[in-house]
Amino acid sequence: MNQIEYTNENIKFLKDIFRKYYFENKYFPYLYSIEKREFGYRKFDSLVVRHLSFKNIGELVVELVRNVPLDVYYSNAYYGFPSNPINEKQWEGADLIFDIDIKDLNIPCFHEHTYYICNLCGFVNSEQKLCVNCNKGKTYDISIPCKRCFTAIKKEAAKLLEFLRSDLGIEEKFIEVFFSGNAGFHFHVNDPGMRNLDSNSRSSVTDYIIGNGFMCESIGVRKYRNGFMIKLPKSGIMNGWRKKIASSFGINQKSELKLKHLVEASGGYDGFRNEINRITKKFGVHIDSQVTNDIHRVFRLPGSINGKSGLTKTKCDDLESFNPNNDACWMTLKFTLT
Amino acid sequence: MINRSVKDGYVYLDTDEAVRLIRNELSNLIYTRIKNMKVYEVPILIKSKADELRKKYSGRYVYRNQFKILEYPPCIKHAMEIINKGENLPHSARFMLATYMLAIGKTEEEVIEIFKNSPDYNEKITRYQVEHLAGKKGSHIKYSVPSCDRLRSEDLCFAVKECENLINPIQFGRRKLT
Repeated sequence: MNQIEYTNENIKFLKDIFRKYYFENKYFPYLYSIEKREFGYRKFDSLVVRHLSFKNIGELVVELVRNVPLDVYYSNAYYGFPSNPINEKQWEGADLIFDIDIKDLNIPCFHEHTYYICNLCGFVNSEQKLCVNCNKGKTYDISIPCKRCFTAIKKEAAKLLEFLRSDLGIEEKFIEVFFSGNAGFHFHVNDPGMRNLDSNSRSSVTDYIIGNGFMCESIGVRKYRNGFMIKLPKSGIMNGWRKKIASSFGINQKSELKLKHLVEASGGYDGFRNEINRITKKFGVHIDSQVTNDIHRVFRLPGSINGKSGLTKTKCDDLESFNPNNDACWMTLKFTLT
Repeated sequence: MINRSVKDGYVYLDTDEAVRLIRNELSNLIYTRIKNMKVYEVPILIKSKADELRKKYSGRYVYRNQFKILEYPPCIKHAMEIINKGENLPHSARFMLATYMLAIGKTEEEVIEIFKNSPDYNEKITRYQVEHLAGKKGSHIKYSVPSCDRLRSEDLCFAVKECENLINPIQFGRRKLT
């Protein structure tokens, strides 16, 4: 099959399955302060509805069963008036959310299972360009990650979890991990202490986790005339990123001389800076910083069906054993599309 | 934060950093107190001084006719290259490019012209976005060029030697007209 047909029967068939799913609403995880969230959804005909608000899960389910959306979204932000236009919503805070996506990991096999579908004729193209079938439509991509991809992304997720717990000191009970339903994981941090962080503070946090902008000076290597000098910081190098860098060089608070030799060996200040960039890339986590830094964003609703894959956004209690094709799959059917 | 000592959710500071932080907090405190005073009439002495300062500093700098841009900064150059190759730019890069061009005094028409090469170019949408950034639509706020810090965290920074000590791409390669 290299063409997807958007026939009425096919769409009706899918809609019925979606409706059935939302009718049995036991799949929704608990949403904190649902009445303060903005909701939105995309219909099967790609129409987007936003600025909705619901008093409780029941009201939400009624809406979903009535309109049967393809994708459902909710805001990470809490608003005084969630259904008002964006300038009049009165922002009261937002969950801190991290997004890691398989496509950002540069896994070599990723292209093998990515398909580019024409938005006009439904033709499946092998490359992301103008549709070769109708020469008119633009393509959108759908990827079906393989086992290798999931092993790689789970590693990334474990790294992120470690950052959240030990560096940022976020308690376990505030971290919820969700499989996005397609090719990534969302980490929802519902710590009341983090809720009021503005976009700039969130950007500091994402830079920290990605490993953006570490300066040689913070580990004690400074530019000096035409060369460099060593002066270790008073607050020590045995915590946070300083520790990660220091231990990968095998140095500690007392090894000024060793550090000096290291810098010389890597070709002075600039060479050492490149060396550090290499290490930060290795230890940093590939999160999408724009997702986290946006405090007015809408996210896929936990428990809803991902319209790209048909899998659900599912909570993962144990990352290691999580198998998306099993645990995020609501029903398995054998059928042929007409 | 990445350059500080972080553990278990605490950020440890050197003494001079602690002093700077407290100084900052104090100035915030004083500022909010003044804001909350609800003075109905400002004393003439303060008012005349304030007017003087306002005259001197009010309004944004208009870069056109004040500075001459000798060379685009590397981040802008890079974005222009991609656009000229006919490839799509991420939203954040378009934001940077448009605000920069507006800030150095290009007109909206000229800015829209730049985006014409984008594969997903749509004049109506581009016009709306650019006019929005120029503060003529929607919130009527003129958007500033994102700082180097922000561009770095959005992976849009391609710093060269001349970028050292700059905090905003707008400062790059300009010379004051005398």
